[in-house]
Amino acid sequence: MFRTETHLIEKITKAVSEKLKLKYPNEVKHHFIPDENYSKIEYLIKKDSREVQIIGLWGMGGIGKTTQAYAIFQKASSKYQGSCFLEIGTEESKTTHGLHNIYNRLLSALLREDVRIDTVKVIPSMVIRKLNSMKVFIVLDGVSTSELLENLIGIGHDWLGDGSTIIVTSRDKEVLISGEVGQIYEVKKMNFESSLQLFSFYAFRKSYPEKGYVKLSKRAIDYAKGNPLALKVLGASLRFKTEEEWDCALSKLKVIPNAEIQKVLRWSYNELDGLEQNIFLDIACFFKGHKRERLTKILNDCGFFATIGIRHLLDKALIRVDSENCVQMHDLIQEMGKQIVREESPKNPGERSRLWDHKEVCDVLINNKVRK
Amino acid sequence: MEAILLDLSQVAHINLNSKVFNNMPNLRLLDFMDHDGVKSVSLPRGLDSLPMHLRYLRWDGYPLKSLPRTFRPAMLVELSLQDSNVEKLWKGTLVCIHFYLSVRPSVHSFMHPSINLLKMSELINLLYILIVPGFSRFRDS
Repeated sequence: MFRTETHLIEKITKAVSEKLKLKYPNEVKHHFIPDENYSKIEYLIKKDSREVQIIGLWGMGGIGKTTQAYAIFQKASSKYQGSCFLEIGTEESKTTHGLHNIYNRLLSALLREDVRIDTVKVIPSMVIRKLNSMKVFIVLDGVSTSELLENLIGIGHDWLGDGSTIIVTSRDKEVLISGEVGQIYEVKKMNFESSLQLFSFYAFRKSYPEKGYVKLSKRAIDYAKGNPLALKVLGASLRFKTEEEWDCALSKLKVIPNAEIQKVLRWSYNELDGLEQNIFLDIACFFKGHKRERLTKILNDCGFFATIGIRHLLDKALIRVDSENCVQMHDLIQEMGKQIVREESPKNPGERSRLWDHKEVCDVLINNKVRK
Repeated sequence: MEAILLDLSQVAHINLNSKVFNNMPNLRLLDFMDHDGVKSVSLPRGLDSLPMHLRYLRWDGYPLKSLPRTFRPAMLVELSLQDSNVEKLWKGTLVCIHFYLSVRPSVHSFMHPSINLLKMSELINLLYILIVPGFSRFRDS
């Protein structure tokens, strides 16, 4: 029973917003552990700043830059008049088309209308006027060149309203320094407790190990070296396995000749069956960012049983599906996939199963070097 | 060779031999993408063949007026020839249920009213087909 109409409306609003939240089931919400990194980054953002603040997050691949930035963004962005979480693809920033696309995505999201500019040099004065009066929150995720950063931050300094905040993430500290980012924070590796918690989320779907698995879990996280991506992949791959299988898998992990993080990723790949490996390599070399439905159809028709295969890759945390229903893969995991294909024939690209590097493709096609 | 991806906006102009795909019977995926419309691939002597087992074929700015005469891509799922010179695909009749026709540069796919008039090969698999302006001639053929 509801005493008043207001009370009823409150109940409904709450119920609806809970439902809406369910529409966006993302990793961050379920498994994000607000560790020391998070509180330090949050502390850097001055709530009542009158200037445009630019904060850079720097650290190795898989260390959680995007995750941290996204968690901050989710919490803080509603307090701003406009916001945009801009994921920048490595390939995208290399071409003119890609650059325009980046600008248009950014401007469209901030102004909440479809903005199409053809050249970066000339931004319509209407757009600038609107931006100038807005306090916005922007995340530029995965910036790999200082030119791109200078251009994007140029937008920030000149056009954004007072009190706006920009967070930039990059694997390359030099990019942030030469882009004149004011404050640079290095995202550090996870401590033991947080590592165990994150690992357990993926291995057991709870925040601590199952009975009998405590020692094994500690052994496992030792390999991940506090790298959240490695923790996730490792945890997901060991899920549902018996204690003996864990022991065997961890011993196997020991003998893979690679750097620690790569070792974990490679091991997880080796655990896939042949068809799943093919799907994985096709995504790494060819289909990253494609719509799930379409690529499933194509890979099913390649005879790879992709409907179930893609499900497995998701379960093993090797890929994820974004809010647009596109299949995405972490850069570090993609790089491993490409490396596996390179190793098929290190010196002769024409003998490999897949080619994507434009120099190698041109050489192979022009000089007719395909051998099988 | 199973898959080739080439971002044409990153390469200088190249001439390809007409037999370039003759020794790639296993090619499943071929993607020549050209966002910037630079059209850097030429086929001065035409194109002999395309691999039979292609599932995915995207060739932005494809330079010829038709696909190779021998090309019977029974396994093709997605075909995209945006901004190309193609006037006709190949001979034969099209039998397919899932068929999306998109007119450039719209991203939205829609069923074309004259779909029954389309004459193409015995493609039972084709799911997405993206076609270029100037394609009306192909509809009437």
